[in-house]
Amino acid sequence: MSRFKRIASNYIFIRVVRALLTVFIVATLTFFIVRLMPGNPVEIYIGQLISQYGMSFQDAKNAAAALFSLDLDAPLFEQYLHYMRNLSRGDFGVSFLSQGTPVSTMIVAYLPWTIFSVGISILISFSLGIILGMIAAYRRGGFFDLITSTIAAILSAIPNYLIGILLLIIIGVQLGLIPVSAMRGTVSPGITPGFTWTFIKDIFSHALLPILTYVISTIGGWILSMKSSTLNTLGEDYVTVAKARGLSEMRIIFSYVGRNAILPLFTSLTMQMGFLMGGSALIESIFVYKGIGWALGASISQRDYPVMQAVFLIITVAVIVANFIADSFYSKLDPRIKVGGEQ
Amino acid sequence: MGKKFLASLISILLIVTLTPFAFAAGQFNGAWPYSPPPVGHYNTYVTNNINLGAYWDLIQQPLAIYLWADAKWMPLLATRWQLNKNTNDFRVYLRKGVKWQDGKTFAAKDVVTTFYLGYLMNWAVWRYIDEVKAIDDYTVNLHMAVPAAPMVIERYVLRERIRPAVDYGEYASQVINLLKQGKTRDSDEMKKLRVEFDQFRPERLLGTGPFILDPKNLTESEATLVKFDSYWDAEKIKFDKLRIFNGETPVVTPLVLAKEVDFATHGFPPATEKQFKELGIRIIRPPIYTGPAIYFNYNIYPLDVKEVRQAIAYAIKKEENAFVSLGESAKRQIYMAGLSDNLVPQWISAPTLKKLNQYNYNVEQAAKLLTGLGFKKGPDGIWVTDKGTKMEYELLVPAEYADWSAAAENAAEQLTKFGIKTTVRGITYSQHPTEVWQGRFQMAIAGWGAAHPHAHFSYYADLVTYNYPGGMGPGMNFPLTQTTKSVGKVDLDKLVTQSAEGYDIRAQRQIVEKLALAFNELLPIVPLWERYGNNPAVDGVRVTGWPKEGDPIYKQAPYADNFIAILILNGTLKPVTK
Amino acid sequence: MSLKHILKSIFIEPLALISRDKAGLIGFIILVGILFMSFIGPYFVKLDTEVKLDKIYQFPSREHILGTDNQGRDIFSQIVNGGKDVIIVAFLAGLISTLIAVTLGSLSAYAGGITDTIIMFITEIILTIPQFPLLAVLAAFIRLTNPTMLALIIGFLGWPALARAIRAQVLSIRERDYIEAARVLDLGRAHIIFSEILPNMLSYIVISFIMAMTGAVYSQVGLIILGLVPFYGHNWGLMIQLAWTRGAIFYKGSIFYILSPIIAIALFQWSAITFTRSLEGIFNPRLRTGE
Repeated sequence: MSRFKRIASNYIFIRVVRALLTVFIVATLTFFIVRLMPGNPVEIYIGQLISQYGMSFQDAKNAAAALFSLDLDAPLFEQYLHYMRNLSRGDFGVSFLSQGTPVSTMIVAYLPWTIFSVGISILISFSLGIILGMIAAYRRGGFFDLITSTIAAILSAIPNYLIGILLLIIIGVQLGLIPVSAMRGTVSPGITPGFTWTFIKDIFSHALLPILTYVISTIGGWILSMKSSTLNTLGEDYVTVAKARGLSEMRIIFSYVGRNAILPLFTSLTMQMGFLMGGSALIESIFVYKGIGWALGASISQRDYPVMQAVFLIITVAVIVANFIADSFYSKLDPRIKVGGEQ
Repeated sequence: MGKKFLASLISILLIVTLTPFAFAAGQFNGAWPYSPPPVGHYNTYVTNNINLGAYWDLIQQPLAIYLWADAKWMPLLATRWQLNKNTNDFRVYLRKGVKWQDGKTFAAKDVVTTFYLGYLMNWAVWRYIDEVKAIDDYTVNLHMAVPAAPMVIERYVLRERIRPAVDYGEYASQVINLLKQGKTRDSDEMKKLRVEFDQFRPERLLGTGPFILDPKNLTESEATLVKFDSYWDAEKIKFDKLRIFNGETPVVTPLVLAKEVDFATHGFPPATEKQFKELGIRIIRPPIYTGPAIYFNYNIYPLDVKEVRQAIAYAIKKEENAFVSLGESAKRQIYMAGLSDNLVPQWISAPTLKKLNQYNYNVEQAAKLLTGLGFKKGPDGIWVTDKGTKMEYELLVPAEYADWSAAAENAAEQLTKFGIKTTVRGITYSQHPTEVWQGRFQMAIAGWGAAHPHAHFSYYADLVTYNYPGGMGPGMNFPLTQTTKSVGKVDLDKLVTQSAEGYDIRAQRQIVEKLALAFNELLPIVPLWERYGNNPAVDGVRVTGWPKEGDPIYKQAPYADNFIAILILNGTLKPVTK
Repeated sequence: MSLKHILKSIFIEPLALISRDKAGLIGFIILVGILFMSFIGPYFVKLDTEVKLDKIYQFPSREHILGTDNQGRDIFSQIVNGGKDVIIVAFLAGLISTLIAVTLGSLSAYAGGITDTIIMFITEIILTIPQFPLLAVLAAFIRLTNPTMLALIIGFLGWPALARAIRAQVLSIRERDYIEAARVLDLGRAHIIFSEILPNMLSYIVISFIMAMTGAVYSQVGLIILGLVPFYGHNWGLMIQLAWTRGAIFYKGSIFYILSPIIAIALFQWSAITFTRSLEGIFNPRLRTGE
């Protein structure tokens, strides 16, 4: 085979080309979709001042004055080329609504908090969820299974922001354990960031409630998926064979059943880690937690196009990378899998 | 038992690790939404700036604050002012001995700076003035090229917070220089300066007010303001510290329920308010001077026929609509003049008031109006026009505004019961203004009135803002030249503009009366009710001294001249003494 | 075959199977109950549209067993009338997204090569397109009156994630010996996928379908708020949204305004999931023989 053909048919090469193409297409689609959204930043800003605060049209226009210098009427395709040119140089542009603020500054300021809180939450939720789900599958039909599945089914049906506000109210208002003001935000006022014990202690205590909320609202899904996936695996012949061979229960669980059952969930896990870059706007707004989800939500309502595009782009890249990693890992989990092989 | 264990576990985790807040002598906790840095910033001319709303006057002070009940101004950075009707000069005399929070002296150049940057940002006041000059260090003269009514020019000038020349002066002098060279806002140089200024980010919010905002004390959750000891009226200020919490209504509610906030101006829905009352929290209801109205798309027959709109006004029981929307904080408008009932006595004389139709709930009258047009009620109970079309419409409303969506639901039910089948279509609040401006609606809920003492602004909101050509799109497309039975042929656009021009208050009142009569007859929009605040005020935890119910200070429009700043400035509110 | 025989196999045998698991039976009964309430209930319990100013936010009583809302209207009647559209859209959306996901995911994994690359390429694009802006743009162009169309929109946007999960499983299963055997026997691709591979994933697919339904209940609300369909305050998902903006969660008298639709949705999901316990025996016959 010629060298070129060998490279071109290499699985990794195809994957990388596919990933780059996907990013390019989605970035382009995002650009146009976002600008086709009805409403523009100026109308929205003024409209809100009038409706919510009863401001006169004149005063509202004053307050929105900075937005009028935006040129939203340049031909769309021209704007697109401009955007792509900047993007290739790593320039995400400046926020429309806050023109002295580069979008990259915003991302650097907000994204780490989301990765911190949601990242920890996913790890806790996933780990606990798969363990509980597996036990429920093994003890199928029993009391543990019933209780776990019931709680999982109910919790995963409740909107996550309601769980958050209920926690706030129960802990802060009804039980009066901790001041509500202390359960909000990423840090306490006056604490300087750094690798000090005070700072680390502080951010963990502030992240406790958002993490608790995320875990409670997502663990149900993991439990139910893992239980059903485990049930599928338990029926397989190789499990019966393993039992017949006299392998220990633990060995069967971890080496055989667990690794196979986890396969579809592992895919979902990596995808979710990619999507976590979009954070959860609702939970972050309830806890006034300055993550990227809250920033994205605000930018959508305000039609702050550069911010929207930047965050969506990051999410896209993250998900694609996550999927890539997942695909590469399949063969580690189940050695029989040959990804990229033809039938 | 399990609850106790969980409670202790969580408390150990959190109480031990969180920085305890020392109970400062004299602390007031408030709330206002803002965007934290790096999105939020301190250039108060530009969107997304952090100014803390009602508490802005405590940091960066204006020349004066308006007292709605007395219809006069409370001097702050200005001590007196006068309008010279012959030379069209508005002269303002400034307070002496005022220090900025960085120690420098407050003087006329700060005022000049403030207004020339307003020129750069195309502020509405520059439609009237053409020059701002410092006569001496404590006197500023603004010259009007277009004479404006005293109430209008006073508000544009006196209500403005003064920014420091030390931070903003450089840009202001560039504006002045360009203007001296004859380069106006349309020139390339000015446009370039504008773009630069939009990106300008001062590092602080420097003011002359009694409280200092240190950016180091600002997180996304709260802002801490500390007392400025060299404030020019420091003895009156009884608080040492202000904590302002960030967040919109549902986020601030738990803080109020836990009584960690002493006052909030957010629009709390009736259910939340009921819980506040159960906790013994007092609710203050200042008028907001605006509210929801039903807007009509004049491209749709027969919504463009005045009798149809009048019938709709008769067919809706507005008291019911008000109560289910916002409880006691919604009051139906009695005079249906397009102007808040609270402002009507100042603008409309008694004889004219008698001529105004109150459109009290009257289904028979509504039906009579429709049959008079030749409409008939079909067998399914829905009215059919003389052209044979069924009266079925969609009512567009912002989905997330609790009070407006409740008003829309109720109005739709009432109209459907009457025979005009109305379904509600919700649209997300950020998109709603666009839909209305682009005329993509049949009927819509949008605002009437404005929180401004001069009636001009209310009529501008009713007739021009969501209309062609003054609005940001065709809007309702209501033709502004009309023939009426009450005042004959009128050009409403001209009347609205004229109502704010010139110095003759009496002439302006007559114009406003014409507008009121025309509005009342034509009902281009049907105002449903006026919104009042439902501000929780917690008494006795940290703060006390709230004036009692009915005090004139409670007539302050909360988003224009909030009384909280006034109560703190003149020392009425004070800390609870242990 | 006698009539008795036919009736027995349609009704008695399945019921017997279902009642082997007590919880599964209860789940089944409640699920049927909810469906009955939502589809047939509205004929008996009329939607209360009467505004009663003196009965706003009443705690549940004998007269109003779930209390009243912000206009004094009975909440129970709203729950009874609000389920039908929600369930239909949720069911169809879940069905569409699960069917597409299963078909494409398994085909992609089984066929491999170029087919896999192309299908996964399309999957990733739909997966990463920002959905809210897309729907906002859609809402600007179409205004629907029938909520069933929502099911298509939600279904067509929701399948990629599940497709990837299915693909991962199929990648593993296709290497099994019995699949190799089927291939050797030349049993045909479609037959192998649908008769050999998928039956081994049935539990996971069914659970994913149920969770997709619940997800669709909430996605509907987003579409309603974008203005795609008219606003009906008794739609369960929208009811939660309205009750939330109206602060219902903060006041004792109004708390059932927000809890009732949540309980309805949670109960729907719980009963469906619990019901599958009875079906587990059918899905995985080998489990029936006890472990």
